[in-house]
Formats: sequence, structure tokens, C-alpha cells
Amino acid sequence: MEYFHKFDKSPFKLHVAILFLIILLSTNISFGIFPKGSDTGTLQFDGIVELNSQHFQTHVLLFVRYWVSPKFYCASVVWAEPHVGSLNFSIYPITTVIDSNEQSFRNTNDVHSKFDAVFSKPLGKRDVFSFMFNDYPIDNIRFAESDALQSRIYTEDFNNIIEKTNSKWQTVDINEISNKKGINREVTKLNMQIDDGRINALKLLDAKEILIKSIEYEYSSKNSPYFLNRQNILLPERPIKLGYKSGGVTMTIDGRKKAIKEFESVRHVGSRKCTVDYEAKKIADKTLALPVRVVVYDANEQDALRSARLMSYKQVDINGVGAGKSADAFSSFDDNEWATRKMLLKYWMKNAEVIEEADLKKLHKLRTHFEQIPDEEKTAGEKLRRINMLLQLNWTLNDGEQLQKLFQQYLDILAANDLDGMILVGGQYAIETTFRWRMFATADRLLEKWIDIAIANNNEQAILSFGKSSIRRDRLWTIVELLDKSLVSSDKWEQKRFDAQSLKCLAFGGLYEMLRNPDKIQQGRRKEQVNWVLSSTKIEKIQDSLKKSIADAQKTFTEIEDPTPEQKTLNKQLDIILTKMAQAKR
Amino acid sequence: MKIKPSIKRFIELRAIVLIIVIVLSLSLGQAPGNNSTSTTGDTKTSTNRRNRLKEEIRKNMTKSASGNFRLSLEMKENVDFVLTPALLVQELISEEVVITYPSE
Repeated sequence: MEYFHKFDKSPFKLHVAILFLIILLSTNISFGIFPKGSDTGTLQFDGIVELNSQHFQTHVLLFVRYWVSPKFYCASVVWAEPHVGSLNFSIYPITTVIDSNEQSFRNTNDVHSKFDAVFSKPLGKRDVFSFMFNDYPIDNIRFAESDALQSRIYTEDFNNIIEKTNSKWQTVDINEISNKKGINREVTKLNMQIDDGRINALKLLDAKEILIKSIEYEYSSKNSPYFLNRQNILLPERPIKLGYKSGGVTMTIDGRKKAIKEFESVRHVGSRKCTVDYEAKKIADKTLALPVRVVVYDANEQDALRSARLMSYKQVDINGVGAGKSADAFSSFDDNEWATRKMLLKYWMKNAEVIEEADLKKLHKLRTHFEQIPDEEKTAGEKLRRINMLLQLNWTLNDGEQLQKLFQQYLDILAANDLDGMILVGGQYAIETTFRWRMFATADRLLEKWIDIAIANNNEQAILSFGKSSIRRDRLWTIVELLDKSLVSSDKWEQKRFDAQSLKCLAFGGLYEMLRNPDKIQQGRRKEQVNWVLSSTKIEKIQDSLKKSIADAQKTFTEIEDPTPEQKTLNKQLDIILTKMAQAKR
Repeated sequence: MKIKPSIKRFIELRAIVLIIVIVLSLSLGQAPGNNSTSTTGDTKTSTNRRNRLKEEIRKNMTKSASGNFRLSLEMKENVDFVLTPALLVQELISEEVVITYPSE
């Protein structure tokens, strides 16, 4: 009582004390919340972005440089693998630049400039999703930013928290401040566990109190200063409105016609699970926990749908305009690269004998130019881009010896950067391009190199999955040889030995059918595959090897105590091949 | 990666067949023999069954109709993911922002 009495006598002091208490509380909460951002100026870093398609079984790598500040960011795609004309992405990705600042969003591409676009901010919300059959125009990438900003949360959202040291679940309503910087926010409620101002778990909810995402935070230290070590994120299924661009579907129910143009569906079917791994990095005079790996899985957490490896962080003194210019300069083709591309298109799959004299000189000059560019301090993407230019020039010149050297360098770069999956995919594409250029002896040598490095860098499961997707696309001979060598050299097949043996037989069987009926195959890579195989062997030899392979596989099958349904099906498929072979003999 | 017109036609045809099956099943579900209205309880049961059937049909319709969109939704996730590193790092270096994850 005496305490209050003292204040009674001095109301001014009381007001000051209460004000101080309020400031202290709000300051503690606003600035004591972790993890929160810390202004570090502009950061530049490189990323290797892996994109896998469950539908098409494709594996794509993008090599991207990023410039990021609180007010702008740029991304510049310097290279993509495998290097083929039609890659599973919404545009030929190389030279794509994204440049976003407070005023505008720009997407450009040197090679396909007809898709270039600039949008003024705010970008607005996504319209009804009306894309089908793998179509998704590149300019729609701008909505990835809008979506992110709609669910971004701020330290002031935590001002209403009662307990910041209690690890019990608590909820904060952020309705009152739902508009942030002109963006209509999707998040209206936060559900969280906080301990010592440190968020351990956070759920973001929408106006219907449906989960947008939930995040668990792991820290590398138990006491302040905290450093993020990992985030585990759940992205649940979310509603999405789908619609037909024109027409739609008309249904007749009870004699009444109903035209359906739009309907509700879900995205992230089955949900997504993501992990973000952080490492402490020294940036200027600060130590920051920065993301080094992001992986997105499907619900069963077996298949990585996509991932990003982030590296070479550094602070750069650059503004938004400068970052845009750097992004353009980093990935755009220079004159020599354009000239190489022009030559490749002019002499695509042609014999070197038809090359005009002047072009021959140009090709040699270009080759010398790319050979002399030093690789030091270059990113993996830049190195692969240079090697690819040389591969293209040597395909055009039909120079088998140079191709062998370059192919080895190509595989070495992939292996050095732990891009093991791309050794399989990219290596196979390079061999395919070589035999399509009718350089069969060179393709044989590349195949030998490829098999050794592919087996050394990939486990049995990866080889098996790759084999399955290759067979679906009639890429057969490379798979026969890869599985053959792997079965001989690896003792790790164990339970999967039969699967590998039968897969080899399926590839062999498919090839045998093609060899038996070459006239039924259209011109192109399938036809050239047959020509390549016949350049070093005969159909009778293939037939004998196939019979022996089936006998080996079926012997293994009899030794399996409890075969899986898939193995039983595979065994039946082997019988079918044998029957077909017997019929062919008759 | 572009889809061949023949495959497109096949997918569209499959969707049409599915819709026909759905419409047929709806008609059967509403046939007089299936609709007993003799007692209140029966009416309730019948209404519930009808609603369940309608809901089932709606789900099937959505599933079959959204099939053609699935490929593009997968492409959307992959393409948008290219910006994820930039947007995530932007959270990390923005003073007032709490680090979450910019879902693609």
C-alpha cells in the first residue's frame, strides 16, 4: 500500500512508469520474436534448382543466380540440364531473367523474347486457374510473389501475444492489421508455441480458420543468440478454383442443363512436406543463418518433388537497377554463343562434309574461343554452359575424339557437384545426340565412360527408377548396357536383383522387337538407336543374349521365397517375351 | 514438354465418358424404384442417400474434370519454386518479417 501511496503522491511518476512498462512490453514482444529478418543489405547467391515431374518422370536442373534485398530481387537462369531443345519447363529456361522491385515485375528471355513481359505493382491476385495439359505460361510466375506476400507475417502481428515465454499453444488474431503494404493478406490467425520469444511451432490460418501452412523450427543453440538450423513445413491441400478458358462442360441432370465453367478443386494434392536447412554464414560483420538446402516432398516423403541447393552467399553493393542489369548480363548469350547456336541449327544432324568452307573456319575459331575460357571461379552452371558449347561445336564438326574428352569433363563436373541423377539423365542425352549424329563408334565409347561414372555415383534404386522411365521412352540400349554392367559389378542388388534383371530383359525385348521390325519405326531417335545397335552387333546375337538374360532372371525368380506382386508381373512379362520370340521363329 | 493432340483427344474423351457414367449413375439413383417416400424415416434415409450420392458425384466430377489441370498444376509448382529461394532469403533480410516459408 505504501508503494501505491507513494505513486499517488506523484501521478506524473506513475504515468511515466506505466508508459515505460508498455513500451518495454511491446518492445520485448516486437523485437524479441525469433526467427525474424535482419537487414543485411543486398545478398547475391547461386542456386541449383532441381525440378522433378511425377507425371512425366523428368529430372531438370536449373542453375540460377539470385540478387535479393528487402525491396527487390532478381533471378537469372544461366544454364539448365539436361541440355535438350524441349525441356519440361514452361519455357526454354536458359537466359530467363526475373526482375522484381517495388514498382514492377519483369520476366524476359533472350532466346524466346516473345514471352517477355513487364507488370506494374501491385501484381494482384491469381485469376481462376485455367491451364491444362502441362501448359503454364512463364509470366504467371509473378503470382508466386503475390502468393508469398499474402501469407507473409510480420513482427507486429505478434504484438497481441500474452505469453512469450510459455511453450503452450496460443492464438493471435491479426484481423485488425490484415492489410499490409496494400496487400490483402490471406493469414488472419496465428497459432503458435513460443518459448523465450523463440517460435518453436507456428500455424498460419485463413479467415475460415483453415490451415495455410504449419512450420516447426529447430535451432542450433539452446540459448540466445538463436540460429535457425532447420524448418519442417507442412503445406496441406488448399482449395483452388479451376476453370475452362472457353466452353466448359454441360451436364443434364433431371432434364435440366447446367454449364460448368468453373469448379473448386485442390492444389498440393496429398499435401507437401518441405525442409529448409540453414548454416551460419559470416556476411560483412554479421553472422546469419542462411538457407543452404530446400527440399519439397510429396506426402509420403519418399519422392523429392523439387529441391534447391543455395551457395556462395555474399553481400553486394548494388541497387535494384544494378541488380536487374547484372541479372541480364549474367545469363544472356554473347556473340560467340549466338554464333554457335546458329551453326548448330544450320548443320543439325548433318555430316561434317557438307559444312561450307567459311562456316568451317568459323566453327574452328569458335571452338578455340571456348577452349580458352578459364573455368576458375565459375559456377557449375557456367562450366556446364561452356562445355555444352564445345560439345555442340564438336557434334557439328563430327569430332569424336574431342567429344570423348568433353563428355568426360561434363560427367566430372556433374560428379564434383553431387549431381548424380543428372549423370544418368544428361549422360544418356549426350550419348543419344551422338548416335543421332550417326557417330556410332564415338557413342560406344561415351557409353562405356557413362556406365562407369553412373554406377559409381548412383545407388541401385536410382538406377532402377531411371531404367524404368527410360524404357517408357524407348531408350533401350543404354539401359541394357547400364543394368548389365551394374548387375556384374555391384553386390548390392540383393532383393532387387530380379527386378534389375527383368528390367534389362524388358529393354532387351523392346529393342529386339525394333530390330525385327525396323520398317515400323519412324525416322528419329528410335530409328537411329536401331542403326547404332546394328553398327556393332547382329540381331541373332541380341536374340541369344536376350534368351540367356531371361533364363538368368527366371532362375533368380525361382529363388525368391515370397515374390512381390510386381515381381510376379515382371516374371509374366518375361514369359510374354519368350512366347513372342518363339512365334517370330515360326 | 507439349502433349500430342492424339493424347489430348484421348484424355478429353476419357473425361466425357466419365461424365456420361456420372450422369447415368445420378439418373439411376433418382429412379422411382429407388425413392421410397412411404414414411418420414424412409424419406429422410432417401434424402440422405441422395445427398451422399450427389456429394460422391460432385467429388468424382471434380476429380475427373480436374485431371486435365493436374499436369499444369504440377508445372505451376515447379516453375513457381524458382522464386522460392529469393522470397525466402528476402524474409531473412527484411527487418520486420518473421521467417516462414513462401510456398509455391
